[in-house]
Amino acid sequence: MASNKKKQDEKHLKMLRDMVSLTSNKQCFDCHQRGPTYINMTIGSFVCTSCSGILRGLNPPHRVKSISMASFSPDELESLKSHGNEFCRKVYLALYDSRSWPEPDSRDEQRVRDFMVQKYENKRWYNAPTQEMKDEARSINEAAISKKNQTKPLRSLLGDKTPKLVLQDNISPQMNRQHPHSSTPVIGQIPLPTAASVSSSNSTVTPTSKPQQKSGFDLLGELGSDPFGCTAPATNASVPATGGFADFSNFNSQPIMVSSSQPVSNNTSSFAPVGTGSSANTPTGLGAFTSIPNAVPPPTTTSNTANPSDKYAAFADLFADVSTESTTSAGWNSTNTVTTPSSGLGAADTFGGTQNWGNPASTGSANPFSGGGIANTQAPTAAPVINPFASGGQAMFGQPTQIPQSSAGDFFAFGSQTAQPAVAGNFGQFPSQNGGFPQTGGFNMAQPTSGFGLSQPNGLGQQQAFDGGWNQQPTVNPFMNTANAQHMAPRGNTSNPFL
Amino acid sequence: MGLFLSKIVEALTAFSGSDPARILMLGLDAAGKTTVLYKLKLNETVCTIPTIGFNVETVSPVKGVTFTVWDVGGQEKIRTLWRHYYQNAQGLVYVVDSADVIRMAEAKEELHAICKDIQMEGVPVVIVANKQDLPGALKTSEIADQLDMLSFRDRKWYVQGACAKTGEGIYEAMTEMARLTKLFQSKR
Repeated sequence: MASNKKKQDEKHLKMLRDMVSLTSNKQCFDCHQRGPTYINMTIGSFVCTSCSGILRGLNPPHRVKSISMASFSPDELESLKSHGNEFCRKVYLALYDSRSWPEPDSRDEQRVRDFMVQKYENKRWYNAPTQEMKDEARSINEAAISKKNQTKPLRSLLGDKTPKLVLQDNISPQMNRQHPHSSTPVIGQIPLPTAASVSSSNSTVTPTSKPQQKSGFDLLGELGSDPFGCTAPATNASVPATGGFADFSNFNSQPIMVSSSQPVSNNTSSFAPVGTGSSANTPTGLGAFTSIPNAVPPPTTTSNTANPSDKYAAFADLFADVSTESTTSAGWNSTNTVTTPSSGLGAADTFGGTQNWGNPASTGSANPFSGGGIANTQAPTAAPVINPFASGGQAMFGQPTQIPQSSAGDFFAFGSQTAQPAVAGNFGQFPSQNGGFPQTGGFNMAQPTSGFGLSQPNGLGQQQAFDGGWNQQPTVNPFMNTANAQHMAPRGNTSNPFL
Repeated sequence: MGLFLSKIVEALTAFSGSDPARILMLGLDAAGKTTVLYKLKLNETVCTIPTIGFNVETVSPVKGVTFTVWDVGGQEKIRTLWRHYYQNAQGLVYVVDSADVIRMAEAKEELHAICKDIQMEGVPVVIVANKQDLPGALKTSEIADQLDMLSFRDRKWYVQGACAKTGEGIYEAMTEMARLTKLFQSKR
């Protein structure tokens, strides 16, 4: 008897999970938070934990049940099948016009509640459901359930493309804000140029990804927020890698739920490195990077510049031999795993190791790995001066996230120190300064396609070139505003294991 | 004079109070346990989310009485964790949603299951018949009836109508709880 009930519970749970994986059910019906954990039994929608709390407090209260901590009767499941978020949207938001009453920011609880009062208590946008709507919802849900059974493993591995899009959409408000922040500190210098160059180059590469994004974005926003914007140029060479990244993006996005801001920053850090690094080591890394775009994009642009670049650079070096894009992507994937923990899970292990490493090197000024060094400094010391992006990121996201970033940066940096400086240079450089670096011209200017890649397939080759550049004009690097930069450059050369 | 002295002694002991009495607050999900707890603690109506795990606060709702109140999440699959909180409980505050007539039977089952546990033997029970402000809320007598309170013979119980949102009734419930726990402790 007991086992029967258990079996039934398991079966129901599985069906529910299948339904939750439907695109429309993948986000909270009320605040669009990704990954609903509760079900509003009163109207049959999938909601997040915080919205479930608000729903309980409505008048009359809605009944909410946790997907994982409640059991569902067959009747309840049947009725759920003919509902779902899409159905509820047609009923409770049928007459909804976003211009007259903009949807509240999911973090503003009071406004979310007000919106719900309008939606449920006043039924302001309500349209009585018809049997056809129920039938339609049922067919969709049942299709999802049966389909799931076949494809489940694949899905769990890859995640859905759609969700990513959604994610971005949700985040978009944040992204826009980020923009200003990140850009300001960094100052037009670094990010803007990149973005510009990217945009031009991007157009070729990006199209695939862009369509996915929602049209809602303004142009600027896209540039700033679009991960592609920064990375894309590099990417152009090797677009393919997406698959690996896609996973990554998913990963990041999930953490967001906790605090939307954090995940973003995380993303950035991980990605950012790629972008920067790509310039130096690039081709490989970037290719992988490119693919990522949609989910992660906004973050990348903003914060990536200084720290993140390091990671990738290192990576690139490691894998330098294998210039091929595909290879790179693999490399990246592995990287991702490393990074991910930091952002979402708080991967203490990896990072802990990394950080330690960074410190001895001399976190402050001496750190050989400019990128890594910077990262280290950021968290504890004074992010603002050194890393423009970091400061922006902090404002936006809050420190906790950043720390992981920095550590990650260190970690990567370790692998290829030389590359990092180079990267920083690329990003940070002002047009005028570029002259200092032999290669710089190539970077900034652009070769849209090869632009970041620098042309040298071989990561190491590039690095060397860079090193030379650094020695000559350490000051040039825009990122290096502070003394640190100078120190770092020379150090990097000496300490660089590769050299 | 003797009476006066004894009152002073009583007041002193209450304040120096040994340990605050350990009060368990249970009930079905969405009954209002967390809201009651924080109304007592902060005198504020907080917007809660479903409790995963528990909340614990030290409150002194009545002068000279201090409770350590354990508010444990009431969702179905985590009710099995309740029993881990039974030990040394000196009182049970059982919160029910008076307007949730459909689940009243479920509330009864859970309540009786709690009281059957050996560790809860004789522990006084105060039923907080919450959400009295909602239309269709059952009255305290009806709730006592539906929860089959009369079948409890080896313990003191009390049913108090309340509205945690406004705070109505919850201090009365705590006053009663203080009285019953005192009785329970003296009996031991």
